[in-house]
Amino acid sequence: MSLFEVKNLTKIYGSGFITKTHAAALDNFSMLIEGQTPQITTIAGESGSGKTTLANLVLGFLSPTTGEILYRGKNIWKMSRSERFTFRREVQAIFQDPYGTYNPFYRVDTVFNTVIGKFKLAHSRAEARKITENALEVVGLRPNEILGKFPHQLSGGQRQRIMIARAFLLKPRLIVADEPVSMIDASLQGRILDIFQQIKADFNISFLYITHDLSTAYQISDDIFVLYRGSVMERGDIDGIIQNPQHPYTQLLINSIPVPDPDIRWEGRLKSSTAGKPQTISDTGCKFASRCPHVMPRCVEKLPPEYQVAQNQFAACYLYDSVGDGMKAKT
Amino acid sequence: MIDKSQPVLKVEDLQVFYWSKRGPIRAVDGVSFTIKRNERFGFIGESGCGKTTTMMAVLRLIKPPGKIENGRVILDGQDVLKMEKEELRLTRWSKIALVPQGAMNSLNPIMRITDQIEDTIMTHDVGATREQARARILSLLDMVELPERVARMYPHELSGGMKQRACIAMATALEPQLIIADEPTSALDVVVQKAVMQTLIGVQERLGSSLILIGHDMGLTAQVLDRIGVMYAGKLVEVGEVQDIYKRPLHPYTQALIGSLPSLKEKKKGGGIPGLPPFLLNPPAGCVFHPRCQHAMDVCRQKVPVLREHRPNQLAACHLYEESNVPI
Repeated sequence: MSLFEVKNLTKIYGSGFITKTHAAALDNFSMLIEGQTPQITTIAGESGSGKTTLANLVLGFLSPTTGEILYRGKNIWKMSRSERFTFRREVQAIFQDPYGTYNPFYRVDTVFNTVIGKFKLAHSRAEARKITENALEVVGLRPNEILGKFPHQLSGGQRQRIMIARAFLLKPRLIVADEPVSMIDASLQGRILDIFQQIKADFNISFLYITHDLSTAYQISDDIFVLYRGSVMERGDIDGIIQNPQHPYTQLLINSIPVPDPDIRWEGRLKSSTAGKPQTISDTGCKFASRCPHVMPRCVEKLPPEYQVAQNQFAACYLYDSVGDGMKAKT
Repeated sequence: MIDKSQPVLKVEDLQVFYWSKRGPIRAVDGVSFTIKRNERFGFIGESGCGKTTTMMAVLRLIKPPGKIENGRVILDGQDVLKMEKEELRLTRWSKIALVPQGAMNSLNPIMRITDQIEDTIMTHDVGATREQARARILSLLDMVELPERVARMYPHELSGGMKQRACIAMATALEPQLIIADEPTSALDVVVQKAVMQTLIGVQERLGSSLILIGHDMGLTAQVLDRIGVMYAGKLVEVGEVQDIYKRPLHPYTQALIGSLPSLKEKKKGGGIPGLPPFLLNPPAGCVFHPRCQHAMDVCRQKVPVLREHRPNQLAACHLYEESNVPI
């Protein structure tokens, strides 16, 4: 049985009081995390791509409009009380803002004591202290420098590592990390990401790494889903997609990333028409069609299926219709 | 008028302290630099290193408990720190303009874009008529690649990228000689970021102004700048051409910063700089970086290194390169 599976997940937000308008924040999304060997899966996308909606769905904070989220084969919305309790313990979350996740009036110890109490992880205060210290050491913090402090006495990097320690304490199988390093200085990002890789390998924990930053994703992930306006544009092996992107959207995204090398300066001038203006998205066709340089008539008529473009690389784009066997992965 | 041979901005020994009950927090401590005409200069460094405070001091926008303790800020031959109130008010926007951090949230939500820009023009350019101002606004919008209809719109009708462009239009309305942009694209998506950055540079080149860019995105700074100043714990530790800073950094802090960048070309292990920046209430004696420095020597714990030219056009404040010490 696979650890975690998402099947044809769609989330539609309605807005407007009298004339309801509907927007699909996530459209027919499927993914699988086997769980036998730990893996880091990146969900990449810009703002409005639906990546945070996905995180909230996966964690059970939002209910899906259609589709299923299966944890150990069980739909998370149809779990019994005890199954749900296990799910809550084994699937942990780390969020973007290491400042907002703390109550400023409590010492950081509270963060640990709350979860230890809730999930009854320790029988005594001494035992609770011991597992807290152990978790802090795993994320590279010295317990005597951290415990007893208030959040404002710690740096952003320390706070985010405490959040990782809190998640780790529960011996999870899956950690959902929503932009965990985007508010951390570049000099510290590398160390946070190293901790992810280390606890993945040492403790068999898989990650769902949700980010807009393809360079950090490339450093740590095994595979990637590139989202655009709720739909998967390209997915597969991270090395293949970063080195050899096939979907025009992935190509645009990778070409726009500023490379920290003055010898490789941006090529091509982007017109402002490609940015900032409200896009008219066709309801039927490819969501990227209005910005795509290779747009064809059928792109706006019908949603392209996924085509296999490499061994473990799939692009939802008609450009690859004649290439490979054009397998239809999704309806 | 404008003396082209003079640097547009010369900052000497600037000190800004924030006064707390326990004494001064030395946010900016003895920073000196020069911005040449038409150049794009950038400040990089971790958060809290004093980049924004330095720029706020240049504009004299430091508010209590912050105080400019010492230094000279020579803008186009005049000391900003000695200006009278009215003179300062006229200098801001017309000679030196700011695109603030999170600029898109600095627009007035209940004023149309055109009225906001007009405000800026009318309060500074006494001779301009409303018609002239309106005409100038349209050409400004065109320059930042916004359609004319944006003039009649309110900020909430614009996307993040469009708001940022509107702020650039406002900052450049009076053709300042120096534009200061504080993290102008940090809240934008990468594709939009690239387009907005290219617009900003287009405007800067067209006006022949100089640009100071504050940013922690090392990729972005590498793409657009001519020279870079690296700040650490309130001090300028290295200044040089962008090529030298990225390819041949002198200061160990710059080396660690460049080395820790995630890249799309290679996978790295063990990124990051060990330790934390010091608390600036009582910074370490000697070189502020010595507690985190791999090459720290005895002299680093005692003597403050001086920012000096160690290679042509590349300055560093580090004892490793002083003649009396053994070079590595």
